[in-house]
Amino acid sequence: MRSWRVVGLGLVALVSAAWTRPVRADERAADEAARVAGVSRPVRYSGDTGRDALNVFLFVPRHVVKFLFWGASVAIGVIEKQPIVPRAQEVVSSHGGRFAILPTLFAETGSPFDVGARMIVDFGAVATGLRVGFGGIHYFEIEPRVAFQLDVPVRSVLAFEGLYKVDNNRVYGGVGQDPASDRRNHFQPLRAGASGHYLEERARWIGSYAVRLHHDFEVLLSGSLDRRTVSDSVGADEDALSRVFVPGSVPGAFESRRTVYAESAGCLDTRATRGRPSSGFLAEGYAGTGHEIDGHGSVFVRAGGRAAAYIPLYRKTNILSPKLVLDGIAQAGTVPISFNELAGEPDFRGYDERRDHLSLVASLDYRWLIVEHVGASLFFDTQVVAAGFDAFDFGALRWVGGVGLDLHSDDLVLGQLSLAAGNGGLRLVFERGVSNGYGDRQHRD
Amino acid sequence: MKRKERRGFGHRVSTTATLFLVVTAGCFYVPARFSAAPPVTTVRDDFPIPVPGQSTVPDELRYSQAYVEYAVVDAFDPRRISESEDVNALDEVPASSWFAGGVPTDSDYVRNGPPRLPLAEVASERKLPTGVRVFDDADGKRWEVVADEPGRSGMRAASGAITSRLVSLLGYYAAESYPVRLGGARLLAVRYPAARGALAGKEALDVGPTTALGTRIDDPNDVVDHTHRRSLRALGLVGAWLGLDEMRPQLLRDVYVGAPDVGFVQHQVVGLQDALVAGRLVGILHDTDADRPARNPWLALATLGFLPKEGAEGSATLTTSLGLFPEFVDPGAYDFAVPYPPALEAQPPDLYWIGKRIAAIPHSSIVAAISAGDIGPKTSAYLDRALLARRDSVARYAMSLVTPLEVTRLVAARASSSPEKSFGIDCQDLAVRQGFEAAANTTYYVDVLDDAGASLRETQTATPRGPALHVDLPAALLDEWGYLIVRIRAVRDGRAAPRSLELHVSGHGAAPVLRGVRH
Repeated sequence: MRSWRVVGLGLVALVSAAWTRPVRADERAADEAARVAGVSRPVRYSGDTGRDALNVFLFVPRHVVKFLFWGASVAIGVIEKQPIVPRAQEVVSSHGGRFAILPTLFAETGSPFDVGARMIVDFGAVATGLRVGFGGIHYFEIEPRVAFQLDVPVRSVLAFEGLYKVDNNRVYGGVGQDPASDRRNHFQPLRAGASGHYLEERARWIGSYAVRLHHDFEVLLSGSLDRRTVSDSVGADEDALSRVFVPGSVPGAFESRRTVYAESAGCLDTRATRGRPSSGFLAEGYAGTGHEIDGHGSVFVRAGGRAAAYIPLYRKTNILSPKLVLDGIAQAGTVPISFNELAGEPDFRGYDERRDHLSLVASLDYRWLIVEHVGASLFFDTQVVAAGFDAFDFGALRWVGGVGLDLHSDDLVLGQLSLAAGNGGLRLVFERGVSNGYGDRQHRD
Repeated sequence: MKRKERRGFGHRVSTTATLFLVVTAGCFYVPARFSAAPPVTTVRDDFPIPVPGQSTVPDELRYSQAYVEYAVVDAFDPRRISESEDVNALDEVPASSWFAGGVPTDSDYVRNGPPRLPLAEVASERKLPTGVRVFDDADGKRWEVVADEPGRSGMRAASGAITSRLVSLLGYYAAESYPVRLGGARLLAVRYPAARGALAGKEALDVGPTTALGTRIDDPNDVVDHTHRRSLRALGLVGAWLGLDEMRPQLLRDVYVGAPDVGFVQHQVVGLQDALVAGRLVGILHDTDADRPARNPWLALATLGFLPKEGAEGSATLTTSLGLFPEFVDPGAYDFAVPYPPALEAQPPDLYWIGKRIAAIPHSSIVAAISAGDIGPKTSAYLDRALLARRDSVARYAMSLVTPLEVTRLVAARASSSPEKSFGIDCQDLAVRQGFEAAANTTYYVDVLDDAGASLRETQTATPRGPALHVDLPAALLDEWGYLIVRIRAVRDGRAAPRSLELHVSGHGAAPVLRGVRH
C-alpha cells in the first residue's frame, strides 16, 4: 500500500513537472510550423486511405532504413579513416574527440536479420568502439575495442578487444568437400549428408600490435584467448548436431574449449583506394599456433594467405580482379583439433558450409563505377576443401556466380546488395553500415 | 451452436462492412478547409538555441543521399508527395529563417557594401573549398574571397556578384558578394559568415551546409523536413534560370546568428560563384580524368563500364568572364548534375510560386545586378539577353503547370433586395500578363463547391479582359453555406491547364473573406 502511495506521488510529481516545465524550442517551432498552412482539415485524395494503410506496414522498415542511412552518414565522417593502421593521410582528425553510434544491418537468405549498432569514441590517439548486434533471442554479440595510435618510432596501433557472441544458427555439415561420402564423418543412421545445427557461445580477447612499415605494407602481431562452447541449436529438433552426427565423433562438440593463439601476419596492398575500384596488388600471409589450455591439450598450427591482382580494363575504375585464398590448419599433437577451428571459406560468397584442414577459394571479380561512390560488380567464386594438398578433388568444386551493387567511400564499403547463385543454392545479402571486416585477420575466423 | 454460427457470420459481415467503409471512406476527393485565422506572414523559427556543432557533408554522403538513400527510403513510402509545409493559406512562403519573404528590392541586398581595403588574411575555423580564403577588411568585417580560374579572370566573381543579387530579389537570404581586385587579380568577396535581413550586424558563425534530407538534428527550430520546404523545392527552377549545375555543399549554408545560447540558425545562399554555368566550366577545365564513369549511370551500369569515354566538353565562351551560359534552357528537362532531393519533390504549385517570383523581377533590377558584376559591355549585353530569355522560359513553364491566376480583390455584393445579387472575385492571369498566353484564346471554367467538395451549381465559363478576370458568384450561396470553394480552370486553345485554382471564401455575400488559395 505504501509503495503505491510512493508511485502515485511520483506520478503526480512527474505530471506537475511536465505541466509546469518551460516549453522547449522544438515544441514551439513545431506549433509554429503547424499553424503556417492555416488548414483546419487537410486535403484528401482518392486512394489516400489505401496509401495510409500501406504506410502503417511500411512505417517501421522505412524508419529502420532511414536510421541505417543516418548511421552510415555518421560513419562516413567518423571511421572512414579507421583501417587497422592508418596511412599518413588516413588518421582521424579529432577536434576535441568525436562520438558516434552507427546502426548496422545484415540480412541474408535463410538467416534472421542482424540489427546492431557500433559506438565509436575517437580522441585521436585513442579510439574506443563498442559493437552490439542482435538477431533474435539466441543470436546476439557484443564487441568492445580500444586502440591506441602510436606515431613513434613508426606509425603503429596497439589494440585490445573482446567479443561475446551467442549464435544459434551455426551449421556443420562434416569435414571434406563431400561430407556424405567422407569416411571421417560419422553420421547417425540415414542422416548422411545432412547438416547439424548448433549453438555456439563464444568469448574471445584479442591483443594486437600493428605497425605500418611502408605506405603499402603493414605487419601485425596478435594474440588471443578464445573460449567456445558448443551445444545443439535451440529448436533444431531433427537437424540438431547431436541428431545428425554420432555423439563423440565431432571433436569440440558439446563441450567448452579454451584456446590461446598467437599469430603473425603481413599485408602488402598497393591499391590507392580500397573502397573505390582502383588498380594494384594485394598479398597477405599469416602463420600462427594455438594451444588448448583446459584439459584437451590439442595443439595446432595455422597458416595461409591470399593474393589478388586488380587490373584496370579500359577505364581506371573498371577493375578485373582474380583472387586466390588459401587457409590451412594442421594438428601438431595427438589430440584432434576442435571442428570449429578447422579452415572454413569466409571469402566464398555462397554458403560457408565446408570445413577441413585446407580450404582453397578462387574468385574472379569485375567491378566498375556507375557513378561516384556507387559501384557494380559481377563475380564468380569456386571453392574446395581437403584434408591435405594431395587430397583436393577439383572435380567436386562448389561454385557461385553473382551480381552486386555497393556504396563506398574511398576506403570503405558502406553498404552492399548482392545476389549469388550456384550449385549450393541462391543467396541474397543486404548489408548496410560499416561491415565487421575491419581489423586484423583473426576477425575472419 | 446454430446461434454461434450466425453470430460468427454476422461478425464476419460486420467486419467486412467496416473494412469496406474504412477503405471506401478515403476513395473520394475531399478538399482542404482553411481555418478562420488570418494568413501567417511570418513564421517564428528563431527561438534561442545553443550553438549547433559544425557539420560537414562529404561528397560520398551527398552522393549516397542523392542516389541511394532518397530512392530507397522513397520506395518504402507509399504516401503521396506531400504539399509543401512552409506555405501559408494564400499559397505563399511566409518570412522565416529560411526565406526573407515579401517583395525584396535592390536596396535590401546591400547591408555592408564592398569590403574596405586593405584585406588581411586570417586562418579559417573550417575546411574551405579549393580556391576560397578568409580575409578581414579594414573595418574588421569578415569576408570569404573566391579565386578565379587562371585565364578566366572575373568569371566566378561576376557570377557570384550578379546571381547573389538576383537570388536576393527572389526572397532568399543571399550573402552579399562583390568583385574585388587584389594583387592584380579579380576575385569575389563574399560577406560571410554574416547575418542577413533585419539582423545584419549581429555576430554570426558558420555551422555547416544545409542538409538536403531530413532536418538538422541539433537545431530545435528546424522541424520541417527539408524535402518538404517550398523554398528548397523551388531551387531546381532557380537553378534552371541562373545556370546552377549542382547544389554543392558550399551553396546553402547554416549560420548561427547572435550570441551563444540566445541565437538561432539562419539559412543562407552563399556560394553562387558557380552560377551562370561557371561551375560546370571549371569542372570541364579541371577534368583531365578521361576515365570517369559515363554521365548516365544507367548506361554505365548496362554497359559494364565500357561505354566509350565521353571526352572533354567544349569550353568556348563568348568572353573569358562568362561561364557556359546559353540563352536557351528547357526548364522541364533541366536537372542538376547530382540529384537534389528537395527539387525532386517539387510540385506544380511550388514551381509556379517560384516562377511568378522570377517573372516579377523587373528588368531594371536585372540590369543593376549585371552591372555589379564588373564585366564589359559586350558580356553585359549578352548576359542581359540570356537572363531575360531564360527568365521567360522558366516562368512560361511554371505557369503552364497550373491555372496561373492571382486574386487581386474580392468584391462584396451590393446591398439590394434582389435575390440575384452576387459577389465577385477579381483575378489576374499572370501568363497572359507576361505575354505567354493570349487572353482571346483563354476560357475559364468555374465551379462552386461546398466545403466537402460537392458541387453547388453547374460549371460556368468566364472570359478575361486582357489579363483581368472577373468572376461573379451568387451571394445567396455564400450566405447559405458560409464557406465556398471556387474552382477555376483555364482552358487555352482547347487544352485544359493541368491544375485548377482553388479559392476558399467564407463569410457572406456582403463581406466575403478569402480564406485560402491553392494552385
